[in-house]
Amino acid sequence: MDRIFSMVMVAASAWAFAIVWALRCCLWTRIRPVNPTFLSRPPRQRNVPGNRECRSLNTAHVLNIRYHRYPLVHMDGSDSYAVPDVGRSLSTRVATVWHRGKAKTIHLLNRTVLRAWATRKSTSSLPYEIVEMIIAHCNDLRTLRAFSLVCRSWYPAAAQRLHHTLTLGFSRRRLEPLYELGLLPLVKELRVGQEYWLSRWFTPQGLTHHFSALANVHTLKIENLEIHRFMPDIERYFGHFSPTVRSIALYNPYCTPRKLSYFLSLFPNLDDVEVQLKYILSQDTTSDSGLVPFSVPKLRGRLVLSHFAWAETWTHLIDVCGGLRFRHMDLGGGPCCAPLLLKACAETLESLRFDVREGSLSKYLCVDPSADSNS
Amino acid sequence: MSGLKVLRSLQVKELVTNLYVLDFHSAVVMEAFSTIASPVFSELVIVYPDFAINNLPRQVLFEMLRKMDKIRRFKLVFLVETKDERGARRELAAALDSIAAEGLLDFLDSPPTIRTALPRRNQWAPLDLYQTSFPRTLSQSLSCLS
Repeated sequence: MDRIFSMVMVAASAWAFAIVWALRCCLWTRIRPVNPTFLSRPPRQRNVPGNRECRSLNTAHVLNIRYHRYPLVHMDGSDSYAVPDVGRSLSTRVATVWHRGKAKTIHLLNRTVLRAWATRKSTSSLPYEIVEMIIAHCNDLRTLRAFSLVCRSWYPAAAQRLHHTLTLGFSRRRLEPLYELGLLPLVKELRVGQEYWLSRWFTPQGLTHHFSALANVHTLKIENLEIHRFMPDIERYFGHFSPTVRSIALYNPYCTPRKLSYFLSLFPNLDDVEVQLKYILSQDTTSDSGLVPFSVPKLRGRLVLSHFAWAETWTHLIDVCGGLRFRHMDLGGGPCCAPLLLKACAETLESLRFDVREGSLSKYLCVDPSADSNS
Repeated sequence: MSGLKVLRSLQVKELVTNLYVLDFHSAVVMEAFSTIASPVFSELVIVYPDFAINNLPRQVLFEMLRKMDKIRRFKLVFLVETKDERGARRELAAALDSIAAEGLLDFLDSPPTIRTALPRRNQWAPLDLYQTSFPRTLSQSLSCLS
């Protein structure tokens, strides 16, 4: 009987030992060892030799440190590394359990604080202004895309750069996904390219509600713009560009000279104007009388003309603005406009560029504007 | 141009592209230059396409510049329209060094300045619709400033 009892006791002891061991293992895996002093150390001191999971600053990596290779701080303050359980003294075990429990408690209490700390340390090592300056000098789209994926604080600076220029080629298809993502307000420069031999889509019918989201455009470049098709409600289609647009480049606009000046007067803050008139496929024959200009554009920047011979445009603008104030002028063509423009900008023009191949231009450049006006 | 009161810079395009008509073009520039009456005029900029660097005309161009300098003192600037900024600067600097060694630039108070700018692509993309308008890199911007 005693023998049976002793065997039962041994079996029960074995089972009890197994259960305790299993519980211990569970406890050790659930409560992972994190030393509070370890968390407060600078990043380089955290790396423990031989432990691959101690390399990152991330909180998640801190919590995944293996128990057999973590730094211990004893009660007396001396550092050491934990070793496997074999041969360890009771005081070491007590210290180990003490520190693990303490670390786990601190971690549970300060989880949000730790996460915020880890996030802050990893993303704001550089001031935002510096990050913005670095990204502002990047001109590679692939690099900008990589910048935008670095972290949350880099995304705004990179996204502004990434979506700075929107080029709409043969259609407005690129507009719709950007509108859905709310990225159109980031666009600063809008380029519309449409070939003259294809059907032009940038028309009143083609301008959808997506364009109203382009609220911060400061540069407009439009190819083959049929201004006469937007008349007379042109303000309805381009009015939301008015406060912000400072530079306009038009290539081969379809309109009359007066309608062009009417279109330019739509933008009160306009400084730079570039007009190229290479060919005229169809002449606008609609009436342009009675057009009252919307505003007095500033026109204090750069004027670039190429093969542009519509003097009436500038005459109208001079009447509206009381003179022109361009500071830089590039008269690549259109010599008949030269004396008029030089006279209008005589007080402000700082640099003048001309093409010597335009032989007649020299004749106009050498004219004395005062003598011309007197005559 | 005599009415322009604050003209600081006169920029001439296509002066040296076609060497066969350089005499005629030089006369055009000289005529326009002689009418400048601005008291703040300071620089004459010759806009250069990058393919013309190696064909820098020497006698005709610099004789014309010498005559212009007698009319009015100016600072000579070469503006190269190129994508290869460093290469263009290096080649043009070498060409100007050899010209200076011949004594053709001795009438200038200071050595010519070299600037660079991105060229227009071609006549089918006149507004540079498909060319990035991002500013150049930081080092390029700083070199331009210097």
